[in-house]
Amino acid sequence: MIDNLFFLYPIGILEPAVILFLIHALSNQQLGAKKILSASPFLAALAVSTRVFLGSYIISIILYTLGLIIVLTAFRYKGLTERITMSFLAFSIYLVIEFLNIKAIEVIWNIAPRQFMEDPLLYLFGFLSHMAALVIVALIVARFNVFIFEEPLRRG
Amino acid sequence: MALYYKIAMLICAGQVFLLALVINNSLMKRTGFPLILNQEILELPLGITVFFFNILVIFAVKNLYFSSKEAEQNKIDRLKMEQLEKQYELHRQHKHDFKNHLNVIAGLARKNDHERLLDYLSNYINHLEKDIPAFKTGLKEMDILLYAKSAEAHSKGVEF
Repeated sequence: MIDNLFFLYPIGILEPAVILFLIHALSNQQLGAKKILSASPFLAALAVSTRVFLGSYIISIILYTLGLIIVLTAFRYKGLTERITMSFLAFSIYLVIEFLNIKAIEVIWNIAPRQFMEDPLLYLFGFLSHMAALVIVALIVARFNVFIFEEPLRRG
Repeated sequence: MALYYKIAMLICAGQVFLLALVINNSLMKRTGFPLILNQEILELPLGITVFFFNILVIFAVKNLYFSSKEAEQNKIDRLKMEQLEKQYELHRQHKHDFKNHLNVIAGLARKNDHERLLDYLSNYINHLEKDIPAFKTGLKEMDILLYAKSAEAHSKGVEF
């Protein structure tokens, strides 16, 4: 069972960076690379430690979301409603893609979900494909200017 | 941005988040995610919260619909007011012009200059016939709008 902090933490830093990048894409680019990179180690530590020590997926995700809201508050990102909404949206996309990623690997390569937790290489493969899918979604969202809390510019 | 919109977005985002969490939690049991706590204690309140959010979404969407209807009505009322203001301005101008014409007619009548008076009246009647026609579409707001636009076109020398 993979619960080694020294294995999970270094690769886990990528996860909050990608989630913050998704929020950056959803919100008319209000977060810069500096902020994303500065917040990632803190959020990664929160995510990994809650997953390893708490033993509850639901609570770890809820604490992760709260951590993200705190980070957005530190960045003075818009108002409280917007911070909570963007955190929920970003994590919804994260969770759905995690589900689809595991299901797709299970269907295409016939790899049972339990094997992810037992084999470090498989875990890494699943994790990286999950992150790649999130980045693609963020790029698509940025391309179509899905600005949730911005009014569209009127021409003329 | 409108408060209704922000609250509606928050409720929708919360609903999607909780649903995704419930689905992923079921999947994580199959992955052998380290589970120490009793999951059922968490799943029941989570499910109740999901149900509550689903009901809230219905009300949020309904409120958004009525807000947008009200905004649309306010926009139409504002346009009507603008047209009424233009109509009043036109009426004021016409009243001023008509007063001037009557002064000229009164002056010519006092001088007993019937020939010039008749010429003047004939010219004025011709001018009125070429003037902006009155519109009768059956909808007062449309009549006012068409009259205002045709007066504007007429003042710029454009045939309407």
